[in-house]
Amino acid sequence: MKLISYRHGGREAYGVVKDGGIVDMSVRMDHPSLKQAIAGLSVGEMEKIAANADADVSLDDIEYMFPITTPEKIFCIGRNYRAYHEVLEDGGPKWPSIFPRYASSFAPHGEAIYRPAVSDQLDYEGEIGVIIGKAGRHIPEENALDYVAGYTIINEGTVRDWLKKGTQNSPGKNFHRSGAIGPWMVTRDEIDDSDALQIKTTVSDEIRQDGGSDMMIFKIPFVISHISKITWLEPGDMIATGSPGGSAVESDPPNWLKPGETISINIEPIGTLSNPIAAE
Amino acid sequence: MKLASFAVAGRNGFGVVTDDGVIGLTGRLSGRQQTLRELLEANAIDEARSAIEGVAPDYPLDKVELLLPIPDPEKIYCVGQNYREHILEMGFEIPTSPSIFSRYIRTFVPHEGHMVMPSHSEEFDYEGEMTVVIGRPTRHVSTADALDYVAGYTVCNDGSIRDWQRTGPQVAPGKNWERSGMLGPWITTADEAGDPANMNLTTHVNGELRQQSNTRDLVFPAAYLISYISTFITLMPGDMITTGSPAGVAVGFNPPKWLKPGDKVEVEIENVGTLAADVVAPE
Repeated sequence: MKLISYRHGGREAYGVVKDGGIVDMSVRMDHPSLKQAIAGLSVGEMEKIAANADADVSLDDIEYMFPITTPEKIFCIGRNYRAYHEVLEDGGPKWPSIFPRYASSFAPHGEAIYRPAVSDQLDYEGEIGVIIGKAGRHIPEENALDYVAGYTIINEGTVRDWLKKGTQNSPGKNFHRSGAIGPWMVTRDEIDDSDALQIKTTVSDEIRQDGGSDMMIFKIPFVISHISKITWLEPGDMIATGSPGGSAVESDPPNWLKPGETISINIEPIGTLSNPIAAE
Repeated sequence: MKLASFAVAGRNGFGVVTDDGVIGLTGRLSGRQQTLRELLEANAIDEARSAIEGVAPDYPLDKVELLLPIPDPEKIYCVGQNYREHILEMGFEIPTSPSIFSRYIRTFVPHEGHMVMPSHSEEFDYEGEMTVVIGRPTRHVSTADALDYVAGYTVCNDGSIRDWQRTGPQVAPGKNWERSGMLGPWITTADEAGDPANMNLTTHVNGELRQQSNTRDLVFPAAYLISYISTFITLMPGDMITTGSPAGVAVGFNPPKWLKPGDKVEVEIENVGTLAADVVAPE
């Protein structure tokens, strides 16, 4: 099931994607937001309601919002994919690289991603986004997927020259609307194996990234367990799980994103996250 | 004026801490704001000042439980290695750009709260810091104009789990442990706090002086940090920038003076306030 948050007729709503439209759940449930519906363990109920209802609104007529409009936390994992056949030195890093990112550094599906006024080095990173469904702390790795409500697509857009101005990457990872999240989330039951997803990024019809999640160094259950040692994970929290090779910085010369281009990230069975690039 | 968020008789409120007690602002503002963040969003500091004129306190200070001054900020940015003397002492070069990372609000406890000793580390450290609270939205602001967007200042312990800071190239894992830092006790408005580039700071642990400096030693002062961060993101009312910590942290001693359950940490910023909390064992 695909769950979406959106704006229509000046109103914020959420619902179930069905037949190119949306069954509006915000008028059928008590929960004011998708985050609260998930936290209220109402996914099964939404599925039943949607099965017996027609779409209320077409996807063509809505403004997309982040699937979770106000996540408390977004953690990103850096350098989490190895290249095919790559053998990591000394078995690779022992721990993942983790950093937070605020929601205002992302754009929703369909809206412009901004190339900053102060840099030309806008890069893309297509990633699987994990959305937490129930609160947990000290989650054992073997049960970690029980805490996942579903998956979305994240363009963990990066302004490369601002990554290394200090010792920390926050400035390059927090430019206003330099990434994207969406278009919706797919519930966990639709993905049998999160290690068997293919991330394909195209920029104006040219394929730039095509990598499988089997190349992830730190797998999703490990990452959830690891972060939950540090802090409570709450319903609606997101984890951007890292990006396969093929970012703009890796070409020679780097093919940075430019205003006028469109970037699309496809991960089946989630869908495609697509955004135009605009000058700030 | 000292703006605080608090709980009293099971209800959350916000208001002004005066010498005689706390005046609640709930119901006293024309916009019916319910939180301190909403007050800042409405740019209503001046209105709050008028609203409490001649009003008797509603509660003695010791009858309210102070909460995090802004319990629900959109963003908190922290700055590492920003005190000149401390950087030189550690043998580092003076940086040309600030090191900026973020931490979530739930990693902080309020004044007189209980920090929780991390369950997976012994290396629990303190960092007394002066913190800027943004009052109005701003993007691409110059250093010269930056302080116009400040609502006030508060006090922070940017508590750090040192071994988890080194688990990867980013310090975030060591800076985001649940209830590992402190923030408060209130926001002292900019007019009353004085020059953010000249504030004395001290940190005591169990009464022992550990950190003593002045914000004039900051490599990147508050105005510069606001301008710099606004290059990449819109700073919003209630957002906070905590400006870094001077020499004297636990890891700097030989052997390190790590925090442990039962310890009490007290950070004072002159003209802003004194923030105190203790450490308890993990649940």
